[in-house]
Amino acid sequence: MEKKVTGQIVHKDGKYLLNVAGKVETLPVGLLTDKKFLDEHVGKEVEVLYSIPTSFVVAIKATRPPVIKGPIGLCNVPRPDFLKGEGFVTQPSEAVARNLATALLKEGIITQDVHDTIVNSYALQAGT
Amino acid sequence: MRVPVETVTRPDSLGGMPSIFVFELTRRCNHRCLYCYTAWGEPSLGYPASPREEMSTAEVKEFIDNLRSQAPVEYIALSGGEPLLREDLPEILAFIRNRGITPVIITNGTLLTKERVAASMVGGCYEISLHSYRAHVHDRMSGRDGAWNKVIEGMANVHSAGGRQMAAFVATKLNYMDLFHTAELAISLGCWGMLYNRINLGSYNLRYADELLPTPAMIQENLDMLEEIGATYAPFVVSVAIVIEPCVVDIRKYKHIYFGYCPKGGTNSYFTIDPVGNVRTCNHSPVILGNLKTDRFSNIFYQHPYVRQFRETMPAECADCEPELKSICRGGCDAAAEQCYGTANRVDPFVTLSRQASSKPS
Repeated sequence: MEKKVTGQIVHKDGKYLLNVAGKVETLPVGLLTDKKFLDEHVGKEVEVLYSIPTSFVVAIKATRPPVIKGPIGLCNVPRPDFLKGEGFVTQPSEAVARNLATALLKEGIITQDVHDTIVNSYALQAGT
Repeated sequence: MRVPVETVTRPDSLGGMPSIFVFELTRRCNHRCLYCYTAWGEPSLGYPASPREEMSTAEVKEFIDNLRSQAPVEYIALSGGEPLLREDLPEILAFIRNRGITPVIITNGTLLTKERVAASMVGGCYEISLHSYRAHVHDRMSGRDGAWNKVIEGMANVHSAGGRQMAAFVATKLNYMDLFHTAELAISLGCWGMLYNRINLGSYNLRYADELLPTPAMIQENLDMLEEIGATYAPFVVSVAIVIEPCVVDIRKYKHIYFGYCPKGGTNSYFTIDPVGNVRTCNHSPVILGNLKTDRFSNIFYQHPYVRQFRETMPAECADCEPELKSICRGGCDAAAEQCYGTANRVDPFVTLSRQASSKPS
């Protein structure tokens, strides 16, 4: 069953806070998302993503539907226009991906070595 | 650049020729996957021998230009065996791109070193097998110890080089429970989507059916996971490519999963060229329709009796199915039936075996 959780971003005393049904927690700038995004969404409702099965805020994002239409494969062959990235974006944000890696490490799903490999790939990509 | 397509006699109901082709560049492979369905992997299918025989670089180029003269080729998926075992892969990729065609590399991911990725990049697109977040499970399915570590390294190399990649998860009894965290791992590695494929039976892997074939309940559990993944991590796309027949699992309730069906040899099909130029309806089919060295692809597509039968076949077991579902599913994978039963006139063996499993006392 779909579990969509939304909350509101609050800016108070120099801090960014996330209010989900009255429960407030601090959002560290930079870990989950950047300051520009937070400034743009203060007072607005955002969707909150929790890693399952442990509740761990992975990221917040402005609610928007995916734009891809149709399956991304023909039998076991990828639909090439999907991989070519024509007309749509499907890659989750770097913030989500990075925090997933952290969550997976914390839960013991991946090792520190695998976590470091993943994180290093983002650093190397940034330098590409 | 499109090449004019020759005019041949074609059924009025059939659209134009396909634009997607699979080139099996080699029979060689560094894995021995339990779920392998390649036609040459099973002697009983009588596929022509010479496992190391493959087209030369020049022949590959010639075949590509041959196809371009007959069909509006826009995309070529490079497969095998394992295509990265070919040292001339960068040259082939460059040739394809210079022809204005988009290549996709279907790989087990274990040979994606930094150097190989750099050589195959420039808009590189990859489909990479990732069957579990647990190394020993992935290795068991791949038939090779240490495979998982190489795959993770390979996917990280693709990601750091800015390549686009999708993870391919083949669902079996051995790994279905790992799907959720495996998808999360794929997301963390920068994948754009996940192809979920329940094992597609063939003559080779049929012997492992008891060990591998997931039950309908397991498939249902996986679809629930995929729905959660699709809802939680959008815009990451989850897609079911190998058909899940609606009579096995009711798929209609899922809003965040994209379901695909066999294009049945029509315009949206991907005809397959094997390592020596033989043509088949798809890479699961064991039936050779002709060879690009001697036959025109256009004649095969429009006039070969087997292709016509492939398009029109409706298994007898599906006669009483709901019309809406029947028109979409059309008996599932004909190629799997061909491999397992020697005829495409029977329903996909996945349906038959799933029903048998469901009827057994628990």
